[in-house]
Amino acid sequence: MVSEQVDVAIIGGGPAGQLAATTAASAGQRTVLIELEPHVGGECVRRGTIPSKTLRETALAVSAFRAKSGGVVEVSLGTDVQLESLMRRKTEVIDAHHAFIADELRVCGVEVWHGRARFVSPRRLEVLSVTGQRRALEAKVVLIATGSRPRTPPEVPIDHEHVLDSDSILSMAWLPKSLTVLGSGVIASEYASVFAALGVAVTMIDRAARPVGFLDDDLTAAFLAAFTATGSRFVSGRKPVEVGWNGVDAVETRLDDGEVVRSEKLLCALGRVANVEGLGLEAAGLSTTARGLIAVDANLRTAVEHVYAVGDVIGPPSLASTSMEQGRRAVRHWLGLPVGPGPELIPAGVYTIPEMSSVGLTEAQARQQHGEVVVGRARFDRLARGQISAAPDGLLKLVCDGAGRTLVGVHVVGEGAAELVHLGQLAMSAKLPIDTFVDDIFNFPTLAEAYRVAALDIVRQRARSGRASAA
Amino acid sequence: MYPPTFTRGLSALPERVERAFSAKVERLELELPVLPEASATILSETSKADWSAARVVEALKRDASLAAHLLRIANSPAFCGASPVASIQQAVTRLGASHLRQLAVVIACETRAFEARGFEAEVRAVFRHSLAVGLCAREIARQRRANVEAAFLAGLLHDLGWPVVVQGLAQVAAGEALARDAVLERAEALHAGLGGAVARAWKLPEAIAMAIVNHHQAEPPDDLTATVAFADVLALHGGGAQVTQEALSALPATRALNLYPDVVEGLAKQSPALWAEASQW
Repeated sequence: MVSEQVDVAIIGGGPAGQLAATTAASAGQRTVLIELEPHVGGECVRRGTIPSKTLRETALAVSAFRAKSGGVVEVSLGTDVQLESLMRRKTEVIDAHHAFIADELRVCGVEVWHGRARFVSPRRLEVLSVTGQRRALEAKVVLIATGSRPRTPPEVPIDHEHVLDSDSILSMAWLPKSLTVLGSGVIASEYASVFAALGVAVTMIDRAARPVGFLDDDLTAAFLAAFTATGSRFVSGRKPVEVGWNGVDAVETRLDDGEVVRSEKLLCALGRVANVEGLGLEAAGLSTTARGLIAVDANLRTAVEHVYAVGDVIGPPSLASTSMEQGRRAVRHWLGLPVGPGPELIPAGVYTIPEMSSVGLTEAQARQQHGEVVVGRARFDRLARGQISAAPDGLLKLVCDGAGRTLVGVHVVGEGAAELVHLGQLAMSAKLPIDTFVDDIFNFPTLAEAYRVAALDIVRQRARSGRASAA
Repeated sequence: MYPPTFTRGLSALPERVERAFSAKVERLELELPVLPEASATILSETSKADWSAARVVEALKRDASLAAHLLRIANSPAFCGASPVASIQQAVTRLGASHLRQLAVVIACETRAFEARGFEAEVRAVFRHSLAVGLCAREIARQRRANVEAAFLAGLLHDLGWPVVVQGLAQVAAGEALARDAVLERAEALHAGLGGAVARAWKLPEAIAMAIVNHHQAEPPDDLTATVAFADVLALHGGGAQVTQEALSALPATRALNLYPDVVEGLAKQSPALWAEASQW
């Protein structure tokens, strides 16, 4: 079989692969993107981010209407709600996103091959189409961006009927009354809070002490308060030892302390595994780590010089934003172009209800790195916009160095958190002093005013500490 | 038998029957099979999050035929546990909400919906094929990490319009003899749309109704439809029909579901066992 010669071959068309492909093609490289599925976009578009956020919009509308109508209008869903009916716009959203991605790739000159790729030698890939045809290419550099799929632990018998994973949860025919969620990472917390907002009694179980452990404590505390206020429950510090459909009416989850949690359905969200099977890594001279991941260095390069790996296939945090940055960074590194600021300024957005977002260091990390830190907080109930929007439980937290002048972390929970964080991200990227938020005027009434309130909190602390030193 | 074979060019319907039947189809005035009360109760009761086994047992007690079928299926190899089920209460307990919901529809189809006087053998064959399609669709969904319940129901009901057409023509003909091929040909042509109408009348999820309506579309518009379309042919393969693996791989539904040759091969190998399971229900 004759191989086509290309500059860059990218296996996998999720967020990491797309950014890698457009970066390479825009730099004049002949770039081929090989995607297993008919459309580029990855699990993120088909079964992850896009469909779950479409359901979340409905849940958000229900809970927001409940809050904003001040209890004047009673909002509740019936007992036999079809899940699909809560995601009416899903197909349109997915189609629009697929079209957008395809357009971007076309404009940049990326060639998309639909098929399953495997290494036959360190630079040669064979691609099997869904109809069984084979073609081959030889690339100067190969990026592996094949993503991940839900992990199925041996003690959790996933049948996609009663016991589901994050791929099958959204294809449930009817909205359940109760749901057990195993895990408390991003995916577990997002689904737990969305179903709780829709009126489902959710029990989230995890070994961790708090959900989404990589986020700042203040954020997860606010999230937990909102989650439990719906009547749902977070069971921390415990793990399931046995899960099974009781054959009657419930999935029963026996925990390590003997408690049995019963629910109509169960979602297993205990991590993800990298999609590396069938890639023929050994032919490329690669192997996986004990956790089944592909090991890379700081520049996303694997043990083989011309092979990079990006996105979920190298492990956490498995966020679309991080994966995109990794794809871009890997290609620029290969091309010898400046890679820009480090990954520490990539924001993390967690679409729970309320949503959480973060960039930079958490307060705990900042204390570890800087010793003293100054923290400013703005609760949304102090803002006119927070009161109007009936979103008083939101919080914006700014973390500064010990001098109280340089911003090292921004953390937001509440309405618009994933949008609000970008202002702080840009301030950190531009190294703006914290006083900028006090001196500049934002629109009124907006939630962005939280930056001014939190910055003022820092300035006041700085002044008090200055008086104390002077005294 | 299913799928029916036609001798093209013969079997025109009498003009009066053709005109009257077309009008009924256009105005959706054909008599749709009614979901038996007990099945409807089970379907609506088990769709509620706080469903009560007692209310389901009550409904079953009022429909001896349904209860008998349920006991038979609860004792079939597909569901039978360590010990056989002896009572309705035990069957309800063992099967659980999701299986009860599926079986209520299966039994309704078997005993009431798939009836057509004069075409008993054909309709029975359609039902067996439908059950096999439901089981195949369930396996395809499992393979693709999608929820299996909707796939099973959509597969089971995909040919539900078939007996509706046969019965409808018989009614319109009012005793006048109709060419057999002409009836089967119209059933084949119209069953998808009418099956969707029945699913809607039975208040099944719209996604299932759409999959039934579209399962013969050249390009399946969504995953559930593609699952049914692929399962439709896979079941034929499982039943021993001349459908090669190459033919399975070449289906538009195979592409829509993005099933690679090794996955198709695996499902093809599984299909005879699924066909056999359908025969045991």
